[in-house]
Amino acid sequence: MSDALKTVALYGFALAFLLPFCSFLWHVCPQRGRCRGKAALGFLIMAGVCMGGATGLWLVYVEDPNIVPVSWIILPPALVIRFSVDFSAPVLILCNCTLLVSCWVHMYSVDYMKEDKRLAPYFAMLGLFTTAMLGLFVSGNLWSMALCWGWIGICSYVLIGHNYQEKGMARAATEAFLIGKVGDIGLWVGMLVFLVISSGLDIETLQLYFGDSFKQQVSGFMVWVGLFALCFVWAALSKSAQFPFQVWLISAMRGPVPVSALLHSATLVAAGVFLLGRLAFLFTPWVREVLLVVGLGTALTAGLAAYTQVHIKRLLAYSTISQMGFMVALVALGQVAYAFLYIVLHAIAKALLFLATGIITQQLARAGLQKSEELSQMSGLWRQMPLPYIASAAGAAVLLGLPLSAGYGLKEYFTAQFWGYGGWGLPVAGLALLSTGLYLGRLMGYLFLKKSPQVAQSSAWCLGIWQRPWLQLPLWMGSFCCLGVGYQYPKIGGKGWLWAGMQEVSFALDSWEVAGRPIGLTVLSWGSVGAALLAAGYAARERPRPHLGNLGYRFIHHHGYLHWIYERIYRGIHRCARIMQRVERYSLAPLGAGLAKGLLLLALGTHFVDKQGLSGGLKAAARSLYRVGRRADLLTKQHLPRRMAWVLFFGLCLLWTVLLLFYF
Amino acid sequence: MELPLLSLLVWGPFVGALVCLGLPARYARYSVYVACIVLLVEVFLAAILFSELHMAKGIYAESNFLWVERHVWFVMSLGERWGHLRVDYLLGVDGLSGPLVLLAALLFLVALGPAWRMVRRPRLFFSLYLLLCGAVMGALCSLDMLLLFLFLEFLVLPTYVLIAFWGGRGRTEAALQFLLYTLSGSVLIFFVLLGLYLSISIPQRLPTEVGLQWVRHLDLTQIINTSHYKATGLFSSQNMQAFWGLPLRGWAFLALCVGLGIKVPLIPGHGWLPKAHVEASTSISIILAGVLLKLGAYGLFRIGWGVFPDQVLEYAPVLAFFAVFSIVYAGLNALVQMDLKRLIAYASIAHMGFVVLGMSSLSDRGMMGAVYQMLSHGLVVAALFLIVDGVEQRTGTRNISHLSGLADRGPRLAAFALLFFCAAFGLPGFSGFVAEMLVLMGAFEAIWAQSFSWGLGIFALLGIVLAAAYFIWAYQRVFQGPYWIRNAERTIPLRDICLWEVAVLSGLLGLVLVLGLYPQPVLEAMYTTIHHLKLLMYTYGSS
Repeated sequence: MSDALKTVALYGFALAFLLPFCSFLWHVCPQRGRCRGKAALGFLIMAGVCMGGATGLWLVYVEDPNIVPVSWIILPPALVIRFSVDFSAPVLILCNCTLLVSCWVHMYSVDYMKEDKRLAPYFAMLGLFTTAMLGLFVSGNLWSMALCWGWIGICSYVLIGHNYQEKGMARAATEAFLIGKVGDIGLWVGMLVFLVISSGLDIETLQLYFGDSFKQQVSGFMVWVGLFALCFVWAALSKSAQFPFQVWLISAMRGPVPVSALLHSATLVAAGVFLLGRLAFLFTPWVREVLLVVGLGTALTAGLAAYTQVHIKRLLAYSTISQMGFMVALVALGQVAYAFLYIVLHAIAKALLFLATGIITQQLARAGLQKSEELSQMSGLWRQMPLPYIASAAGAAVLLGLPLSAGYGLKEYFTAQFWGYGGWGLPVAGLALLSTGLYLGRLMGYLFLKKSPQVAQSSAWCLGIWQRPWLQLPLWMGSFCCLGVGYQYPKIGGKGWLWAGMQEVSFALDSWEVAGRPIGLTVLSWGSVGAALLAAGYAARERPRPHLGNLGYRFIHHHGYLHWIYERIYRGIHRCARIMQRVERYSLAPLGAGLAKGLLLLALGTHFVDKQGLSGGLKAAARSLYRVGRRADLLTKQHLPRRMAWVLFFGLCLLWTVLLLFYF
Repeated sequence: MELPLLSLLVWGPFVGALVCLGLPARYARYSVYVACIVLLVEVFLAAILFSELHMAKGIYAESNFLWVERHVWFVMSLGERWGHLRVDYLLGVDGLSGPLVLLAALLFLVALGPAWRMVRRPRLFFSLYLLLCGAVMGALCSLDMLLLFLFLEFLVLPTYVLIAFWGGRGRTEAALQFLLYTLSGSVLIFFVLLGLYLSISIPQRLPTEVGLQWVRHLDLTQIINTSHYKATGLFSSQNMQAFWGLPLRGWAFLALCVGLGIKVPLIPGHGWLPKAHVEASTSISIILAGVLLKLGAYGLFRIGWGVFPDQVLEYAPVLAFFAVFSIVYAGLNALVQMDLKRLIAYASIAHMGFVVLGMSSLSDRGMMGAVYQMLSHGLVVAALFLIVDGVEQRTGTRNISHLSGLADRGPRLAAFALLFFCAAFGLPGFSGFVAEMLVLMGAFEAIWAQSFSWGLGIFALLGIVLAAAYFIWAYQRVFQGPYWIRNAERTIPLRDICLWEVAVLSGLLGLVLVLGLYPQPVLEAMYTTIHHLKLLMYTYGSS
């Protein structure tokens, strides 16, 4: 019975992976008529259904080992590489989450991108991207992970640069891709190093090699292992847009809204945290300290930067960076399960916020009310746009961890972890949480609560949303997912399924001991809510600023001017390349021509010597010696070319003498 | 009697060339069909050969090669002191040359595409083209060193003419430089050949003489055996006579590395390549980059690695250093090129740097990676030149700064360009990734890596990032942004690529993807040979 069910579930998984890929193939093939994206949506919904069903079957009925190996290269003893697929519960939950968000984005795009002329490639890339992301989640082997990692990068490049005709768009996509590529080096170096020092790249094998027992046995070698693990940290930080790589995420925001909703919620940025979580057993304490510093630091600074943004998508971008920082910090504390849970909840909330923002800006633009996406130009929309208002509020509630929202229990645990860790972590994490409250409050206050005479004048334009079901549906579904009841956290009673599923993380590791959860902690997580209310209230009364404030404010706003540093680096590399080009042009390239010319000169010289010197015998030699003497006398009086010729002649004589001497 | 498969492979194109030349003027335009038929047969034969390649063990003995054909070409008595000179017509393939034969046959077929509507003197063009093909096949299949050398030299001639007659504006200069560089390399190889003749004598039974004779015979299946060297011979490993601090054997290896390094090319000897690639017509560029560069690396493998294993063991880190220098230097140069073809030329140099890096890692993985990189680079570079040809045909320029937004009008062209750019910088899933990963694995586990502490491998990785940078940047400038072409007399209505281009490019894409996603059969075909080569290096090299 179980075997049959297992087979059914495996077929379900296979379909769930193949259907998004089929969507890609479908849209790559030339079609009659204009692409509307309905086919892609169909494929994705079917994939989602298959994935959901198969997950249910697998988790309930199948208790076998979750790893299914597929051999790829078998050349013993030199090289044996097997791909393996890991269907453990957390991975499956992440897959479901990805497919869910991808389905929303497809639905949304069907309507939102309606007027776009290049929908077929757009949906093709969405399908391919989803496939690669699912592949990354289930792969239990660094090889297949690297494969999917690369494809995620190139798909996101194409998706971000979808409107490549617009100014700066192509550049932004290139920048995002290349920073990702720099991160890839880390992954590759890490893979190569671990291949050399251990036998394979299966995550299971690595865990056997470098797991807890190993750590206790050979502590000296662990310094090196930690150093090598830093390579993976490098790669993960670049994908998750942590310091110092966060620049790419800001430029990637220029892509279409649904793309941002997909890339910056469940998928692209989550890949980094996922990699960290999978390889968490490699991290020695000092590596974890590094992770903690980077994660919390990024969370705090990006949170503050988000608060100072005036551009709505940039605010959301910095918010993503900040939230990713929290996840990295969770991994650093050893709480991989919480980090993955955070991925899921953040994905839902952030996708919701992006999608709501997209509706608002599009509707405003259609009504001709505003052109840019600046916060100051849109305000007081809650009456006109109740649905985006509800959706944004739900998303913000999850990120804030309000009670009854999905994020509540997680936030409680998060703060408890830091209480347990103690030291500097707690105040910094608290401040970061407060900054979360600040920017979310500011967003909500500006967008919805503030009074705006300009918008109130007309209200007919906002009604269009009700006739667009594909735009509404994801928002409704997302808002529903943000309710906490469905997940049932321990706070509310018993271990909920999502939480329980995540606890099955087979690759969790020893965490710092949590010393109880005093009630005072709740004060901290409530503090962020208070901050949100304050910020909302302030934003509702704030007048739009013509200029940014003082130096410190600007420094936070530009997030430490990192993009400026990156600009310097690009220029440095370019200058280096120019120098190399000059080296090439003036030294190596003319080598061939120089060789030819040298030969020619030698031949001419030989001919000259032959004619003048050798054939004439002694007399000619004497005559030429006499002539040489006179010439030498005249040398100072003659003009340059002739003098050069004579110098050349003497040089040649010298050369031949040396050659002859050497020969004899 | 077994079919002389290799002879057919080598001499078929020569016959085709004669047919092309002999066509009456009226039918001159049919010479391309002759070439096409001949090359289809070549591909077919090479595929047969490839399918049985996993049985070849290579290097050690004649029985380890497949389809061996041995006929005595000439035997000459040189008197009491020197013994006999013998040259054989000896053909055979192993896992090293077999994949390259298939690659060469495929690329010669693919490169017919851009030359299909050759207007100027098609008979001459296609007969030279077929001659070149035959010479390449000969160089890949021959196991007698003199025969190999002759084929290697012979192919310079048609290449020179093909560049000098049918190239771009600076074609004569480019062809002359190609000739100069290659021939100066050949001189060095020739010296090595002479030295080897002077130092090797194998006891053999000759058909014309009675009893065992000392025969000077550069048979690559036997040459590895150190007992065939006379102790006092020039290149004998016992001959410790140092010349400027280096034994003669070391000098020979150095000469070989320089001579073949010019063909590969390694960096100081690469001067001919960018010019030749830019000035040659597209199909010849494909052959130059896809096939002729590989011959240099193949020669290094066959002669350098097969005959001088001890020297290789000693100088591998130096070669690896030059390889990595090539990768980074050519990568930086490619970053600032404005001519698309020149960019690809520099990218080729960087890719060949990976080949040499893998070869000099002296490990199974690294050397497999080197051969794999040759295959991968051959396929990818052919596609890249086809794409650049497509751009040039449609817009009249190859200058990056004159082009923008081509994706708007030619989405299929842009899609193929992006895919092959990705393949060229080794995106996972394409053949380049497998090759580069294998090479880097080799570089990380090479015996010299311990002293270098992986520095070279990491620099090579930086080269990959540079490759991504220059390809994606070029893509951004040429294919993205608003559509315009500078200096065009009028706005050119850009056509997208047509059916045959799509067919050829998707065929190449399919091959690249298959090589990238399922490398097992190809790796299996070359593994036994490479493994034997490695064992041989360590047995003969360290003794």
